[in-house]
Amino acid sequence: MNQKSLKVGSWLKHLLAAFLIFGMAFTGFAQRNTVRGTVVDEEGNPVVGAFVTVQGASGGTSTDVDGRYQIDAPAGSTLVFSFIGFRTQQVPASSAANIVLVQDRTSLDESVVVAYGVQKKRDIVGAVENLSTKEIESRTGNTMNISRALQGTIPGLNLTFSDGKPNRNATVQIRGTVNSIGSGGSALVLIDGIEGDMNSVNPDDIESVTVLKDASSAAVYGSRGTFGVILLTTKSGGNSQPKVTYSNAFNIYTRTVKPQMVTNGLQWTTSFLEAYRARTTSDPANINNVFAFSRQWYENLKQWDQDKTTPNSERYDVNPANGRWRYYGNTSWYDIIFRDYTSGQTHNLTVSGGSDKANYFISGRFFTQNGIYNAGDEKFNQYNVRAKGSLKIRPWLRLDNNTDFTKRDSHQPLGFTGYGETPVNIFRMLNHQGYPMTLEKNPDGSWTEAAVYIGWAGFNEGNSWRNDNMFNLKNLSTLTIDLVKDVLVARANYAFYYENGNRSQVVVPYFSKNGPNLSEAKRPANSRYSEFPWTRQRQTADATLTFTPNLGPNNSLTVMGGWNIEDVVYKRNHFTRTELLMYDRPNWSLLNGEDMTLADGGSWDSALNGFFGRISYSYKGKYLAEISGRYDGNSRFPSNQRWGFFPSASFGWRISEEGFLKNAEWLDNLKLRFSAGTAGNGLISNAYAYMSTMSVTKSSVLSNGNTFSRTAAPAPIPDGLTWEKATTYDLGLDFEALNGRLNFVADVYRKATTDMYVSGDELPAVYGNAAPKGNYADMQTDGWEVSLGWRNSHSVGGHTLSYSIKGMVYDAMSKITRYTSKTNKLPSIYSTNYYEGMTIGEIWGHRIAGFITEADKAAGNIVPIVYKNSSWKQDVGDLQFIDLDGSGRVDYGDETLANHGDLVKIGNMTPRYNYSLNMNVNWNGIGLSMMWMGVGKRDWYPAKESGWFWGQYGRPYSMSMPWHSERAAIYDDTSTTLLSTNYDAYWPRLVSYITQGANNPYGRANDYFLQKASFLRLKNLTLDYTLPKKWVDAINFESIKFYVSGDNLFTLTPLKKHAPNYDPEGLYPGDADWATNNVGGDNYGDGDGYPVMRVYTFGVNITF
Amino acid sequence: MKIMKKIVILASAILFFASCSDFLQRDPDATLNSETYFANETALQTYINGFINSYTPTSALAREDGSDIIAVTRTAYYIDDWNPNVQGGWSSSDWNAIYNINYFLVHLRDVPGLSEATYNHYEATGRFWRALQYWNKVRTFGGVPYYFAPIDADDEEMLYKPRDSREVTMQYILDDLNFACENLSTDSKWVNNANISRYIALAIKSRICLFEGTYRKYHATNPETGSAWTTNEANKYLTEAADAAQKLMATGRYSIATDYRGIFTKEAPSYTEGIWFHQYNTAAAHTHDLTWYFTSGSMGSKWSGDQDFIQSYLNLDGTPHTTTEEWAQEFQNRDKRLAATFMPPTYTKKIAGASVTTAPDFAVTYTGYQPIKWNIDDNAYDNASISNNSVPIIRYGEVLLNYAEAKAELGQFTEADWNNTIAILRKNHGGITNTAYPTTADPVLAEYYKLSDPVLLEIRRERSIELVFEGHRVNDLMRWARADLINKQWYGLYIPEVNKSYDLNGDGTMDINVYNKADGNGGRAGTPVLISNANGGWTLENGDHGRLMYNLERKFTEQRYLHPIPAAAIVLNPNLEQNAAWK
Repeated sequence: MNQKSLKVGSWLKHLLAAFLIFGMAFTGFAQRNTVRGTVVDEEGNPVVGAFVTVQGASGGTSTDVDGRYQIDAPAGSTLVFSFIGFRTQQVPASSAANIVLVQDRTSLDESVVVAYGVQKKRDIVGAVENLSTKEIESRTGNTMNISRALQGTIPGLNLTFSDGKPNRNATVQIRGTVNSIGSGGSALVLIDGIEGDMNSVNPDDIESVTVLKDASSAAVYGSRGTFGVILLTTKSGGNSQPKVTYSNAFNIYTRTVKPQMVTNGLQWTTSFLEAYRARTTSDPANINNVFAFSRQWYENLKQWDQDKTTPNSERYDVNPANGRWRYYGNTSWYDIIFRDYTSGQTHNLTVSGGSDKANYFISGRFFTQNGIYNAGDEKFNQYNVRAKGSLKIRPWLRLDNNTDFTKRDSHQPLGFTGYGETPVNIFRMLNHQGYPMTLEKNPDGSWTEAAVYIGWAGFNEGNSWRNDNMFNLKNLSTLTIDLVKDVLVARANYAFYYENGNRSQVVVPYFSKNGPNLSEAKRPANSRYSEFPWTRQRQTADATLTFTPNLGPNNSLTVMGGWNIEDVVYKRNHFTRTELLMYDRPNWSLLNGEDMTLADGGSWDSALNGFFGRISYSYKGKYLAEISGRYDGNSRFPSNQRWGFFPSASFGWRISEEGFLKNAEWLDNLKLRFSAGTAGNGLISNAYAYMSTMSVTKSSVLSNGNTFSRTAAPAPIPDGLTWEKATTYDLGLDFEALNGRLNFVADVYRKATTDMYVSGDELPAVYGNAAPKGNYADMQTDGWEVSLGWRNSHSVGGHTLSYSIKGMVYDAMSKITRYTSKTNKLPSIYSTNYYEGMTIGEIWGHRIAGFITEADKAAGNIVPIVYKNSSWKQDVGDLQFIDLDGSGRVDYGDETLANHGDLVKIGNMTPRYNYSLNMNVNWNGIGLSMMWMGVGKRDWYPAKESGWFWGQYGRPYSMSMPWHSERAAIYDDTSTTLLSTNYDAYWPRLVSYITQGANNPYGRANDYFLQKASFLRLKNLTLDYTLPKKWVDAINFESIKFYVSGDNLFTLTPLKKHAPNYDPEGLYPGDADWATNNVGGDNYGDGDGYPVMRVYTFGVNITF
Repeated sequence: MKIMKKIVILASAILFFASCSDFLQRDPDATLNSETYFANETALQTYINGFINSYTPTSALAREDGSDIIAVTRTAYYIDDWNPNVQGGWSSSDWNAIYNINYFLVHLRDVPGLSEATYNHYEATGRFWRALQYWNKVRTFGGVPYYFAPIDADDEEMLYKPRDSREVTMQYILDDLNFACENLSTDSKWVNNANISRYIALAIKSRICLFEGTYRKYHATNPETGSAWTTNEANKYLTEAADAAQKLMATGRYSIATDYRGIFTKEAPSYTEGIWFHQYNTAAAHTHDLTWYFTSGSMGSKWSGDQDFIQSYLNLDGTPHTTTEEWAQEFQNRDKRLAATFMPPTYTKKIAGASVTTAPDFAVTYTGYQPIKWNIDDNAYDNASISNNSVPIIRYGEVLLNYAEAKAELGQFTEADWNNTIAILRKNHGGITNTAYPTTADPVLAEYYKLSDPVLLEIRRERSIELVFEGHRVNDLMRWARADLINKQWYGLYIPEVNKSYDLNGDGTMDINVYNKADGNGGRAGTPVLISNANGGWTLENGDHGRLMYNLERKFTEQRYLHPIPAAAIVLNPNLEQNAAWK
């Protein structure tokens, strides 16, 4: 038998066994001088269908259902016992031989899906990692998509989420967090070989995940696979009776971190005054423009604070001077807005089966997750359906079809304060209007101004919302032709992807009252309805020809050549109009406003065309070599640069196959891999970057009350735009020993990303445009990955106890090796800059000596700083900056490499030493698994609007944190009298706006407030129980499994010390959906995103 | 046979994928190809619409920051360090307008088949905008590198060009303005809407040339070089200014309105006196923030009239106001523009829909003279950027003032000129009864401006009153070489007695409570006004009574007549020479 053509599927094993038993019965009577015996496995169970042959002779036999065999064997000969999945055993022939076959637990025969094919793990020479989704089954039931479940499973795979929103897409990066400072840098995701969205595929449909990490394994994908490839392979029907699997998970979500803040009105106001006056020296007239402030009110508040009995809703009076309500509440806006728990469910149903002629796999999934707010009916739903079939039309001709659709709907309540289409972030609005003194509702039941301004009124009334609806349909048809069986196989496929989506959004004004007899005020000024409909169509066709000549036992060769062509058309529109006639009926026929927009919303199309090939050769399974390459054409380049050729090569040496190690029984595999390759990056973000174009847009200025069309000069286009290139060198070691119990993989790599498409040398500003971009920068990434696994099983209490443990660590660091800049501006929290020699993620900042003490002040020992903060003057309790350059004052020069004043490198924000640890134990139907993951080293400096960290050190009207009360110096509520000092405290004197941007003392990074953001997290803990086989047999089921699982159950992080309101995986600027808080923007602040969730899941899987 | 079948299937599969040769050529569908853009007159119109949209001055011109006559929270410019390291205004986006306009100027004649007059109109439009852009640069930095065409990324000669002198730069500006004044159309299609007409060009030319003429006259040396002017052109520019104004006056197209405040507070632009508006409109959702800024203690700068300036408003009978009295009395029998510019005792505004008498709010004003010139008198506009009053960018009133001043500086001003200019403004806007030609210098003004010419002094008085909050005062001080006045003491209303509450407008509510620290506010009603010596605080002129003095440190120095060229610009182009005072 040719072992190569066999698959490890158990159904095949059984089929084979049946066949051989039948064969044996035919020949059994003819044997004489027989050897008899039983073949059992390590646990004493009979091995059915094991081959028994006499070495050197043809023919043989196999074991029967009880594991018995008999065979005629001359004396002195050797019997060979073999069976798939077991180690082959040789014994001298004697009259009887009872054999214990040892299970082969090595991974060498595992089939791994690779680019345009399948390879045995033993033959792989690239940096390829694969994962069967069985390993993460319990983590897929509580997420909308697979990406969250993949976190921490594959070394070198970085899945980053900007927040915890259910429909948030991951940023997928392989080997390094920044792969290009020019364009792209994300990994290519292919679903059954076709580019797709990892976030819209049914997680329960995925059978395996393969990550191609180096240039050699991804080379045939050419310009798209430059920064690694993720191959998701969906499940297929097997040769069996119809099998139905149903799974259900019920999930409870709660946030990992419940932010704490001061909810006592007096306490909040007192620190507000201290912070405010420290900056301005005078009392405010209002608290953030809306809430009237006077000392009279403040004195009243002190009285009210004594009153512990009046319910919050009655803590108000009316100002006789102007008839306005004055509030004295202790309101927790956070608790008003957010619920403690929310829930969700998943249902998944699969039917599969087939024969040797045809098979099918049909699945459907429904996922729903409810909102985190106490109102607003937030909801995330997803529906997936897949129908997949394979038909053997002729023995040499197979047709596969794989069709699926995804429908995703979300409904989110919105808040608006201004007059436009950009909603505000309610997390952020707590920073602006969520003071505890104000109340949710007025005594007459009307909304307070705060409730309207925060957005809470809108959430409650439910008619300002955004719906995101998306539907996509994918069809993949594949024709496989065995031109010459097992030697020459042709395969062609055509895939069509259609996506249709719409974002619809309603803005409605809400009314608040400021006094019992004052009329209502509204915010925002007007109502508005918007739609952003889009369609995306992608057509892909591939054709490959694979040639595998039979070159005898010592040589094996596979030659594959192919062609890939792709066409994408994206169309998006933007419609908006003001004045809804009825707020609950948003429809184009029921709008009345003059202010409207009908415009293109960013349509584009692009095309790819490529020819590729791969030659794999192996000599005696010992020396492996593979070369591959692709000639790629991409519409995003000018015609003279459109085509590029990108080659790669890799070599493997299985040292364990060498004579000197051949007899080392304990050693299963020792393979050294080396690969090198170059790929071009065609992921230029703008599909028309090389073209000189002019856009026509609507004016904002009016002429005779009307808008008009306008244009402007085209931006100069880059000269000779060409491909970015990534050249990767990878050296890897695979080690497997003790019959697969011990497994170790290590890789070191260097990736040179060259000709990155970035802005060129600065030109004098008179040029009037950004310096044209070009292929001007190089970067080098050095990294390593190690994983170590151990698994074993024992018999405990009459049942097998099997367990496994696998740990991995990986790291990468990128350095800019070429960058042309005359000024070499330094990077800051607020702007991304590069210079030659820079390490990606560098944080530049000041060094701090401690606090300015009273003694310092008396001795005149206050180091002057260049920062100004209005009337604020350095005083006792402020941070004492260090004048590193001895210039007599602390400054930042001109923020360049050559002149950086007292700024020095103080840290790096790149997550380093990512690690994870997976553990599984199974015994008698009970399974326990846990996954720990974390980051070993990371620095974080909270950006200026990070209200959950800075509180009133930022905007004085922001929330106040209880721990801010421990300060180096506390002043009175006029900020003029020093009340107490405590130089052991962490927090300095309270001064508002002192963190507001790079021109304020703490707004630029310093080593004092630099936070360590490393963490260790129990990402998942699952306990499952599979009902005993005899129970389920009795009710004609195949299996029933119950499980309980928890995600993000426990976290260790140094952030808990000074930034307890932050989750280490949530240190990103707010919810990108609300278009506030962009990196580098004026509103840059961390932690206003959707919360990171802890999830409890209760699930059941039933197969019948 | 079987092989044949296989080959047929394979071949048809491959044919299915066959692609045409330009498969990889993709063109954008939402943008236009610049190569073929300039095809017809519509293309030119769409292009100049871009100038209107991007370069039409906005409502921000109403913010009177850093002048002598209006006290503010923080005159950032005159407190903070000025230095080449932090100087802005020289980024590529600041220069993009020049690129954008020049791109138009070199391409507009690519459009085939238009009449010469039509080409010239479009060229004049482009050149008008270019003049305005360069003038802004000259006011900030002095002479700058001048470009007639867009620069190529590899044109080193142009990129690294040294500055053109102020004399040369201004000459190019004048050339552009003259071309615009001669070639812009007066066809109704281009007039009294957002487009640039010949009338606008003439008006703006009078403004720019008056600026340059007086700048040359009053600055003995060029602050850019620290040496004398290379050409003595003060009279040339003054003549050009008077000439442009005169040409516009001669058309008779515009006249002086009788409702002064209505010019600034109406949604629909009135082209009686207004020549060029930035239109705002609620229905079209194009609104601004002026009412909000002028009524908020923290959004705006708490703009507040200086009492010396308030004092300079004439009495209705045309005599100077000389008495010191309490706030409410000051508004009696005064130039009507006083009560149209600053909140008078009779001021009412809508509060939640009802008309309510409203007094100055010391949370919003420092001096008691709270501006209302641009306000919509309705508190619905107080908290959001929803003001809809259209903003005049230049109006006929200014053109008359420009004419008068240019003529007076030239020594050619006649009584007839007076009657055609200042007298009309005083009569129509101020309601002043006696508008006779002045023959004696007002001693207060003479002392203030250190001038003796009675006519010139009256023109300056008129200009400051007429144009306050329209973005002129700082420019005026700069060109008169009197920016030292920025450091003047700011005064507020007269307080007869400290430690007392005052009901300013007599509506029965105490509005302010003026107290000193020893008194502790005495538990009295009214917005507290604490007399203390703090920077940013108040004192009283005579210790325990007198005019309120708002103390804010300012430090205008001679050096600040020009901003420094940013250090970053000189790093990139060492041929740029720094201004003399900043070397």
